[in-house]
Amino acid sequence: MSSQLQLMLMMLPAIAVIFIFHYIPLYGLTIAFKEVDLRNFLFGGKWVGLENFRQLFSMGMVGNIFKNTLVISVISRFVLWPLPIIFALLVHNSSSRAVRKTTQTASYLPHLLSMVVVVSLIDIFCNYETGMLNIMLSKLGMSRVRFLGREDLFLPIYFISEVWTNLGADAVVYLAALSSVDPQLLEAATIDGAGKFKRMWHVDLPAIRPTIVLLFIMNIGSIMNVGYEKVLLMQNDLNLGVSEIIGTYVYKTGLVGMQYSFSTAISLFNNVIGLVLVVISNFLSKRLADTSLF
Amino acid sequence: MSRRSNKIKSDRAVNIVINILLVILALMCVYPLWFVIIASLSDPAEIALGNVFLIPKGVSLQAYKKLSDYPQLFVGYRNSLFYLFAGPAFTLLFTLPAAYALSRSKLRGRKAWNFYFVITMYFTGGMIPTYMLHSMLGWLDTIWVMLIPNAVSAYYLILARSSFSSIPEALYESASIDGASEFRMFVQFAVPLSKAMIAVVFLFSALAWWNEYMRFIMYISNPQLQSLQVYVRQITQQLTSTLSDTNVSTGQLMEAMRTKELLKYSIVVITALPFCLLYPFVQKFFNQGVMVGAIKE
Repeated sequence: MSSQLQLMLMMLPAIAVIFIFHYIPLYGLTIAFKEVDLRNFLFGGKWVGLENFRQLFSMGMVGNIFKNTLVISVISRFVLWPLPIIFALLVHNSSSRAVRKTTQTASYLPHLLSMVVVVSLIDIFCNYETGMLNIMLSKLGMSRVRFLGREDLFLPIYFISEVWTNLGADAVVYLAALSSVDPQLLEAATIDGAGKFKRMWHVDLPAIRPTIVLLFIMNIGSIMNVGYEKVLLMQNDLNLGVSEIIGTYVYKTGLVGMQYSFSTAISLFNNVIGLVLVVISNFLSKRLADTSLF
Repeated sequence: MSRRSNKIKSDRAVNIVINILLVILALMCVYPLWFVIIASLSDPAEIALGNVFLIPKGVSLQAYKKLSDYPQLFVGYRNSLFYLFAGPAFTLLFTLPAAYALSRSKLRGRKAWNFYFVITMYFTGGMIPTYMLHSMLGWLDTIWVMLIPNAVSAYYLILARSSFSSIPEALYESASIDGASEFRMFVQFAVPLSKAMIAVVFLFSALAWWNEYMRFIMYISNPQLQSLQVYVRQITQQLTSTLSDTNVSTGQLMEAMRTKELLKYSIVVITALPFCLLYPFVQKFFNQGVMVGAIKE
């Protein structure tokens, strides 16, 4: 058997799996333009053109859903984004190996937890009757807070738990980049009288600038994709006004409500926006950082 | 990585500040988990009074004994253990040979095939078309709908391919002169030389399987096949809603409430602890895996 043939055979299972489970559903996106049910979705269904999209845009609450998605996305990518960088700088510059090792290990642990466990932990702490935070509040003589029932607290709780979960893991990349900073530069800076913070700002940060820029721009491209699993688990009747995002809405109308075409239309619309952003961010990345995805 | 900062006087104070800050952060990261562990070993009355903060109070194992009231947890645990090994096994089985092929520069159409796989990282059909496909294939509610589609992901493919790429071409050349086939070279050279990468893929994949929730919710309804996370969610939701429905009046009701809350702690502990305990031993593998994720070559 020729070696080309052998190599093809080795790839065959993967090619088949990808074709069936990634490319065929891609074609399946066309159901956004059709009316289908479970039996005929690939080959049948009535063509209805942009009907689903017209329905989508005429719904009042759709604007709210997109707004919620963007709020979560933008804050994650612009406000929370520097935190792992700062954390990495601190860890890297710690004078104690013990502190460095323990902090790294400890900060990564939350990342190992499943979404279900993280949301359970949120409940364990924030529950009105039994949550640890509220128990402590009443012990101190203060009044309890309905953390989980208030719309205005949904986002803070969401973001704090996001940071808690991701800080250690996100910092790993920056830590690796920091470890390749030229020690001679740091020596020179020290001789010139630069204190630790000055060294961090003038030597460390610029050295990892390419990594920072690359990751930042890559993130922008995926701005429309907010992981919906955690939001879905955190949703309740009281916070839907801010917690309904594109992903959760697609899930609820599509799989639960069985409006397959309609929810696919939303999904498709979301993907198109995402695609445009990926292309733009890739272009920016080429220009600003000399690196790109394509 | 010892830093000679005794040339700068202010550094001594800065070092102390940084180290204190980091220790506080480390404690904040770990405390929620620590609390759940000590709470699961404590007397519910003490917890409700807010006396449990750093160590268990009124130590008892009732939280764990009560777990037997929920046999579905054991079914879920068994299933999740199964997926924990079967999932990564399938991933390695499907991904490694393909990654090997992609790493061989002699492969015809190599660029095209790379594109074919990598493109799927950016465009997917999404939730609904995928669900409909699985429904059409008639294998909802089986282990295959979980194991086969997830056997190949561009992420692990790239990781494996990068690792295989670092194997020198000369090795393959001399082997093929001796008449070795591609299959042989894969099994006898590529795989043994990539043990670290295989460990990374296995670990990452195993963690993802253990934590998987949405896919099980969407594709599995048979209680015998359901995963631990789904049952954990179900049970903790149950426990929470009964708590808010009851009127906080009589002592007996309080008792029942607190016991139900206790279960939340032990459930979280048995679900989260395995990987948390494993982690310190395999930390370097996780670091390597995260690296590739960010810098996709």
